Amino acid sequence: MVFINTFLSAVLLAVPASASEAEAFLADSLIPPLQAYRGTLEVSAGSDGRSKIVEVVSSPEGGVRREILDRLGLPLVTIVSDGETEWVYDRVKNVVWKGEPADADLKLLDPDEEMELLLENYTVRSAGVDRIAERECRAIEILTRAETPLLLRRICVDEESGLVLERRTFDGAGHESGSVRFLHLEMPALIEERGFKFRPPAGVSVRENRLRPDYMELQEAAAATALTPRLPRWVPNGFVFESVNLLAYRGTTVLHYRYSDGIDVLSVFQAPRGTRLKFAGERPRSMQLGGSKGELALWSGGKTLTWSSEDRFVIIGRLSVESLRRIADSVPEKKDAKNEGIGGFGGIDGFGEEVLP
Amino acid sequence: MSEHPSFEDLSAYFDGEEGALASHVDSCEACRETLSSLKADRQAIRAAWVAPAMPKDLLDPIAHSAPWWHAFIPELRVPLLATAAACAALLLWSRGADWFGPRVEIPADLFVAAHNQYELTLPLAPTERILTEMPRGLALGFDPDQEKDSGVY
Repeated sequence: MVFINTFLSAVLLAVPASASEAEAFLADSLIPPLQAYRGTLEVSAGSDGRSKIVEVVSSPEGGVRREILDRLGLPLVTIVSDGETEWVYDRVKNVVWKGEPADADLKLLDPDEEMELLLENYTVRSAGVDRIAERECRAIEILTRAETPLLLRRICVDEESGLVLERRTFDGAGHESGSVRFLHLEMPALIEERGFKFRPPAGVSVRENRLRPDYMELQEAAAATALTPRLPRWVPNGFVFESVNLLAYRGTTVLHYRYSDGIDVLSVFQAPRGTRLKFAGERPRSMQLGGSKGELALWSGGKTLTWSSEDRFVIIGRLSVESLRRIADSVPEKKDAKNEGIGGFGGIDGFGEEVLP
Repeated sequence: MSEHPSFEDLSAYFDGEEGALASHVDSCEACRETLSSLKADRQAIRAAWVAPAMPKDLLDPIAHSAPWWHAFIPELRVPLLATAAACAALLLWSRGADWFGPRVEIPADLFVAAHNQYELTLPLAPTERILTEMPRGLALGFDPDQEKDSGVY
């Protein structure tokens, strides 16, 4: 966390004087606040206006405690992290999961590269001054670089602390698809660190095998599995191949190819042949691909497309169905991927070179 | 019964279907003779049903005759078996992993959890939204014991 602060401070200082005010504020918002804060958030997802209340406490040392409340205002899920260990306590299921918190360091792109990628793909503009949770904030809008710019994000950054007070997400049709907004915020001088330590209640089952956040380069991943990496030859404009992660399930190793465009992510998974996906809830729709049949499922955060082509492939992202189909159709045959070397291209030297044709 | 029963009635009586004729038959010599005649006929017919034994000089050639291609079986047996084995091996090689290899079923939510975990590393990630929507999804591990808990929160 200290590394990120230092690095992002450097990024902030490195923003030239001629850079727009909006870009400077955006860079400011990427630095975790140096002040402790405590507040109440309203989190909305989807177009049906569903919202939840989350109480959050954060310390500059990396401690975060979140209480997701039910409609009666009682804690439903508690998520506590001291920066090293993250606990998720589901009070309904009476289960505690222990693991590592997600961290901006757990990928290959540096924060400044990511900022550069974002500015390369999107336009950032100032949208004036706003007032959220009784605090003055600067509104910043992030738009596509198309001829007719499309608003994708709108964030309000607290002028005093750089904390993002409101974050609104819009879909490709311009509809708001989710938002996170402080209803109440206070910045006490001190927050006791013990609030970020968690001791599982007696009688609650603790599970310690959560997904482990990690990353590696393609060569490392390829050496650790019998799979021949087969990365898609086409991804939507702006996305770059960022890193790989290895997932293991019942002795099966799954490759997770991770792509970023600065504000959004795209995941492509490759699992050995014989692997099948079990969808919970609504059954996926059948979808014709170039060489096979796929299954498409929708969920609140995006779409999941899976198909079998010798190996099992899964794509997850916030993309159009046509883009998903095009990515799927661009996955090379196994024999071609073998001939071309690791997935068709080499390692990561700089994100600029990794944009696939 | 003063009159003789018809031949059909006597035949029915002989077959056990006309019990009412019993008193007449007992007292009628002619009818008993007719019944005796029927009995003799039946025995003659039954005797005729026994198939005569097939002469051995006729039976042997029939038993040992076979289609023309049977003659090639000893010569084809090895190549046929080898071809069948090769086909089976080829089938196993091409489809074997699908049929007999690991058939692991992974909950789709685990892939979503891995995707979300990566999204959380982005500087502008909607952290609270992801955590609120899928805290259990994020908590899922790639472990079979947790499969039953794979529902999206």
